[in-house]
Amino acid sequence: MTWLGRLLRRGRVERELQAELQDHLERQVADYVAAGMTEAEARRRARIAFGGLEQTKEDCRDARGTRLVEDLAQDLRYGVRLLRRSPVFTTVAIASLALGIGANTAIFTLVDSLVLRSLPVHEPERLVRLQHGSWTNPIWEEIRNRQRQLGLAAAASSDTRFDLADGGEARFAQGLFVSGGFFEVVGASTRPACCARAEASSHTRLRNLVPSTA
Amino acid sequence: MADEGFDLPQGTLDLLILKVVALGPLHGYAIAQRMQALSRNVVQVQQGSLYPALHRLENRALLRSEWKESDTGREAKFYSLTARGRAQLGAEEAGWRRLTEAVGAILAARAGTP
Repeated sequence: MTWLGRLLRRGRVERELQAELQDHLERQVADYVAAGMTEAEARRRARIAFGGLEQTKEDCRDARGTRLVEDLAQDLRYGVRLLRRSPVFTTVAIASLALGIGANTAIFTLVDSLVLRSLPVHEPERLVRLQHGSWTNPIWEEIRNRQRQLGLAAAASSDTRFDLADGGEARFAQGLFVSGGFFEVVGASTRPACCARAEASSHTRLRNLVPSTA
Repeated sequence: MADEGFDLPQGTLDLLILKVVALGPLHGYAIAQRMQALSRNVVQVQQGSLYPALHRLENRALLRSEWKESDTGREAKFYSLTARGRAQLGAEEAGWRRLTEAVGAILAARAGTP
C-alpha cells in the first residue's frame, strides 16, 4: 500500500496490524504447545515473550510514516469538539478574528493605494504636489521661471465641471484647467494634438479641452 | 541459548531482515524464527523491535507485503524484497563486511605488529 493509501485506509491498516501481531502470538502459542506445554501455559509464556502489545503497535504506527498527518487530524477533531462544546467562546473568538482580519485588510488596501502603489506617471518619485495655499498667478510665474532648479512644473486647477454639449441637454465631464507642460510633467504617453498650441503659449489661462482617460 | 538476549548493533536488524527476506517471502514470526535458527540462537529479536522495523522498511519501499494463506490456514502477512531492497541489501552487506574485517584486524593485533 502506498503512503497515501495507508493514510486514507487507516481502519484497514489498523486491523491488519492487529491481525499481524495476533498471528505472531498464535504461532508462538502453537510452537509452545508442540513443545509440550499446556494451552494455558503456552498462552501465558507467549504473552510474556511478546512484551507490550500496545507499545509495539505504537512503534509500528510511528514506523508507518503517516503519523504526522494522523496526529494533526486527531488534534483538529479534538479542537472542533472543544469549540462545539462552548459556542459562546467560539462565536466571540471567530468574531474577533473576523473583525481583526477585516480591519487589517481594509487598512492595507487604503495604504496600498495611497502610499505603496505609485502614480501612473513618469518618474513618480520626483512628482511633488503643492496645494492648500494661495497660488496666485505671480507665485505660479515665479515657480515656472525657476524650472531650471525645480524641474518641470505645471499648474492645474481643482476639479471643475465642463459642459461638453453642443447645445440642448447639458453633458458634464470632470476636468482640470492645466498649464502648458502639464502633459510633459506627468509623462502622459498620448499627447493630444491640441497640446502643441498649449505649450507654445506657456500661458496660465488655457481653454483647451483635452479628453482624458484617467 | 542466550536467554538474556543479545543486543544487535544499531542498524544491524534492518540488514538481517533484508537478508532473511531475500531468501524467500516470509511472515514476521518466520523471520524471527529463521534469524534465531541461522544464528544458532544467538540473535533473538524481540517482537517489539521486529515489527516496527518491518513496517519502517515497508514504508521505505525496501520491502513489500502481501496477505496470503499460510500453513495454519489463516492469512498471514508475507514480506518480500523489492528491487530497492535488494540494492540496499547489497550495499549494507558490503559495508558490514568491510566493518567486521576492519574491527577483526584491529582485534587480531598483537604486540609488535606495525
